[in-house]
Amino acid sequence: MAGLELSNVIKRYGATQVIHGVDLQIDDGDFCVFVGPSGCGKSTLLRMIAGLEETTGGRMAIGDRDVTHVDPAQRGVSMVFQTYALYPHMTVRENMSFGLKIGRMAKPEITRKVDEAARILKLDRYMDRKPKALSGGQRQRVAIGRAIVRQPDVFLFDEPLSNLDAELRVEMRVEIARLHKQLGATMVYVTHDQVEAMTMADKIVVLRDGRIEQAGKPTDLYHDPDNLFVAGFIGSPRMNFFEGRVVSHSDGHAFVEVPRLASQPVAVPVATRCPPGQAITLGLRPEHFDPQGPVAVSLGVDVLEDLGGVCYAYSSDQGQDTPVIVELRGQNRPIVDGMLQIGFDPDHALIFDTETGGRIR
Amino acid sequence: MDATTHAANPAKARNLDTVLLRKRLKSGLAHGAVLVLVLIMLLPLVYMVMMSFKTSTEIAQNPLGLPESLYWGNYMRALSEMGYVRSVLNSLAITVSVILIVVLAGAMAAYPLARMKSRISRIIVMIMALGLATPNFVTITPIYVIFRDLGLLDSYLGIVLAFAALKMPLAVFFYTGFIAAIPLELEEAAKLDNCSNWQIFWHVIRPLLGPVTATLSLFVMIMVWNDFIYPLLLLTDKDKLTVMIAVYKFVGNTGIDPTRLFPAAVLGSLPLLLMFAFFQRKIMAGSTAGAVK
Repeated sequence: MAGLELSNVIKRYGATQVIHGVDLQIDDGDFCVFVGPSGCGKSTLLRMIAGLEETTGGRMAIGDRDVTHVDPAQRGVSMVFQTYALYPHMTVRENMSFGLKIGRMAKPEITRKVDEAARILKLDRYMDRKPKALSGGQRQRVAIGRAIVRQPDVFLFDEPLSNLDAELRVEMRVEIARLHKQLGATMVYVTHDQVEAMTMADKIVVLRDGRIEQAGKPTDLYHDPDNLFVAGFIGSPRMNFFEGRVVSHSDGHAFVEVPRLASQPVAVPVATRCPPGQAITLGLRPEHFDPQGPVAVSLGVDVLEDLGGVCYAYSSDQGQDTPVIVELRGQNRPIVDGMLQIGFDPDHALIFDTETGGRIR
Repeated sequence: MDATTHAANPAKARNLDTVLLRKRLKSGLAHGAVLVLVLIMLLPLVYMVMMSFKTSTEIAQNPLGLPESLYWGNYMRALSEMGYVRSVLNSLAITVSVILIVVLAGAMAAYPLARMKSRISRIIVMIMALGLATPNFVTITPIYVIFRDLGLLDSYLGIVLAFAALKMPLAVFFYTGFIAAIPLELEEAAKLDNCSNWQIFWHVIRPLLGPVTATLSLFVMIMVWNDFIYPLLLLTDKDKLTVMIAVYKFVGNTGIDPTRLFPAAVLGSLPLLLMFAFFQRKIMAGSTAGAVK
């Protein structure tokens, strides 16, 4: 097992650059998740690590080895594809042992490794079946088994659960997390599902337009995002944003005017001195609304999503495009088309420079 | 109100009956048309089999009638005079060799053509498609001259090579489309499994070509088995003649002897019909493969 290091990694297709100088360090044994919107370059970056896409510039190292231009099979990586990519004419056993056979490993050793992987993944009963006779979850387990038997330094997963139904997805998510714990291997996982990212990752890398927006622990990205994009992308339901303006700054607090949220300026703790009149965006997560909060807010409710334990109230008043989402737990549920009297603690609010999108800390 | 409702229902039922009747009539007409077409296509075959069992007197007296009895004497004579076993073995050896070469070389040529997105590969595919449309008379003379210069006339190698070259565009055309539909991830998985390009082709792509290979083999088999021009052009040794040339021996310069020609024609077609019947299921699967997901 080994860590992975990307230094100024670039990918170009002709004149079009899709990955712009990515620098990233993934420690040995880490579970790293690449997230980002469609077309952000997360799968391309993963395929570059696998060697399936040529790296145009920069350096890529697995452990101490420079693998930038090394053949995929020699990199010490295994990949699990979104579509499973199982060989349809081979049985489960043949699928799992194929790579080892090609590598001319001794038969008893192949059998031992395949049986061990089958035991870990509970595939023992299906070893003589062909992929078409397996369910989606079983196929995905075979694909993982095929990756395990090669004992790679780094496991790569390209949206492995996106073809599964919701229930199986949760099941497989837990299984992959358990597998990571069991094997202690370095894993890089691409997904657009942030629940997967938040629940599985040791480290999340948020990508946009081929650049890393922020990389770090899931809770760090959630509570302490570097910019508007990360703040809006991480978290479900998403963070609420309110346009505002700095009124003054004193005692480590910026006093910001946010007409949609409060009639009086709100004191948000920030160390950076903000010039009065600066346009800011205030971010507040749905769960940070609190009836006991010191700043009172009154919102008209358009839609209610009552999930039993938790309820989400959506407010699109004043003709705003993006509704304000409020998480309610335990309180009396408001009624649709009624008014919700709630509050929030400004200490939970984050402010961003509207112009650059950067966080003001 | 009630009266109106009651009046409407029988009218609705009548309409439904008319629609159903029309539907059945349409279906009956379509089936009838297909049946007529099948009968028209089968007519020469039936006529050939009927004639093969008639004596020369019967043929002279009633050329279109059914045979009075199954006269096997025609077959006995044709079998001994046409060198049936030898000619069938020749045809079989040539056909099987051509199929093997065409299938293997065609798939190997199609694999990079299906995967490469360059302009050159598109041009090669276009040239191959042109090969499909080239009429026989254009290729006869060049092939004869080239094979004469190479000393390949009157040899099994020559006729096999000629057929293999002529059928190669068809094979490339078949395989290119089929391989292009195989998910690229399979090859990428094989690459990560340490496979070379050749190993990817041999272990991953080739085994998936079963259905299309069966269909292609059938087409090539029919074309090579029934081909008359190239064996006539390239083969002269009577021990190397194909079954179709052996049948042609019974067509004289001034006339034909139906009591020999028709049983010989039946015998010549028989192995092909048997092979077709044997492979039919696989062939149908191949010809529709990829039509639906």
